[in-house]
Amino acid sequence: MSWRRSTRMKCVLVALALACLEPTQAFAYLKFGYEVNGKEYTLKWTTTPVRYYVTDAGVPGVTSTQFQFAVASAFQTWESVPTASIAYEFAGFTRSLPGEDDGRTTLGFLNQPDLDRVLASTSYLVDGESGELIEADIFFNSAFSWSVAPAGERGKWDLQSIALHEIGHLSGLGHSAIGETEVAGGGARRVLSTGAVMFPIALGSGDISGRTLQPDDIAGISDLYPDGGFNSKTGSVSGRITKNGQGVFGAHVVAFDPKTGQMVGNFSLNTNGDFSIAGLQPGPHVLRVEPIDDADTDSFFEMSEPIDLNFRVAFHDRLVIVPKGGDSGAVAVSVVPK
Amino acid sequence: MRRARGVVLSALVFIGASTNLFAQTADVSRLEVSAGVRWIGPLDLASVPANETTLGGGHRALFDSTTTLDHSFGGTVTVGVRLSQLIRVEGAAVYSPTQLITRVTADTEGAPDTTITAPVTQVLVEGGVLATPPPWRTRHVSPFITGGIGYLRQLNDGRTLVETGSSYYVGGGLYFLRTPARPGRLKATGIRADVRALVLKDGVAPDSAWRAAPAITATFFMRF
Repeated sequence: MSWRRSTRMKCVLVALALACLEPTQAFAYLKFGYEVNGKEYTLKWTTTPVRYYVTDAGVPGVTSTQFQFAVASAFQTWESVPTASIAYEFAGFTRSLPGEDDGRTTLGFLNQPDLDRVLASTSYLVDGESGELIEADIFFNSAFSWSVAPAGERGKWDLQSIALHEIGHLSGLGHSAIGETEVAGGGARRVLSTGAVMFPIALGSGDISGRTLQPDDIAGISDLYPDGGFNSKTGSVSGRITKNGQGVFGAHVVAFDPKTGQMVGNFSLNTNGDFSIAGLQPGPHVLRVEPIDDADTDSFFEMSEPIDLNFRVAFHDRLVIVPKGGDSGAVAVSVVPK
Repeated sequence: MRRARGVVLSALVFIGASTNLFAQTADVSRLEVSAGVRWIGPLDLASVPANETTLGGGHRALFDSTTTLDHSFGGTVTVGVRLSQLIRVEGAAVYSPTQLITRVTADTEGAPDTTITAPVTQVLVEGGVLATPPPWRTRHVSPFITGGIGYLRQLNDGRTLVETGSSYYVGGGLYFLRTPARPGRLKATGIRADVRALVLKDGVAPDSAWRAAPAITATFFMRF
């Protein structure tokens, strides 16, 4: 299986702290944060529309025009989320390649055969003085076969699906852990199912189901760029995950709406076991807690503390009522060791 | 042939007797006040799997969930006004604490099946019509049929969320009457019991479908 590479930040002007891509605490969904001059920032665009360029070079089976059309569709999918205000604008074709520090957000192909499990990757350029996000580039690995066919093509990766995932990163979202995998031959993971476009591993070549955002993705982008009534119409759940009375770090917590089947997840992001999930529809929710065992933990975040994987999957024994425009109040969930 | 004639005769005698009894059991009260208890049966609300997407766009359930509104046992107060010997209009308020129950099963990662609950406070305000056909009455027993509509208000745990909806009901029951030897302002007292089909719409339900539950009410009443 091929992996979508985690986001990687390029530091310019002034060297940034190395821990510049730690997940931010107390936010719904997994967002990125970084520190500049001792000040913490959430990785997001402060001005929109986000202007992007497309490298004027295609690959076998995909012309640059077809590439631009496919990524435009993916941008449009994110832009169409009614509860999010993010907007994008195609600025034109360029001869620049993604990854060049030119201040231009650029999407294009690069041939990276050494990255044999990386379909695509997003990198960021941040102003080391102001902390402002200047540029986010996405490269698609032309070592793989790509398709822009409306119904997908067997044996080729759907460009629009992969672009939708990477544009989520470009917009500031991290990976979601809503998905199930099994370990296949060679230690690689085979995806059984996903509940978010932002799951770190693609379902498979030929698949186009990744062109559609899931509730987890929608909650994430809306939380980063809330539009109008998002914060007043939705609510959040917060609380603490413990094991033997101690906080669990890195537990994956999913809020399931038994009315609609929607799932939105986040992690306990400190050693106290605190978590918060926002962007939930008001009403009762089931909380499910699991260790991060469906992808490498560094697919989600890089932390100095070890991630606790030694506990059993569990449901909270109470339905948690999410209020409209508010928080559930502290929910305590205890898990037991395996 | 002889048997058929017998049936017709019996029916005529019954109607004649009822008419005669009605003459003896005319309702002279105007106002009825009652208080008692109501049991409302459970409501199936939803069976929703936690679906994830599989290769090719199919679905795979991470786990299954079934949600019900548990049966409830609460208090009710009714005030009725007699319009005629046949018809009485009435309004009722019902307060019945209950709970939402979600049962999660078949977790693909081995989480044990779990029953998850949250308290719900349920209030019904109803208005309806009650008919007591005079031919059915005896001195101590008065059957009736009833139907009406209502306003449903369901408060989730800690009143963090209020859901509203509507209710509809139809049913029937019996008055067991006791008349004072010398009626003054108090014309009668007794026990009233009814069984009804209660249809609830919206509220904590996931959609606007009509969902029916049985309900049994028993009250002590006074007629003035």
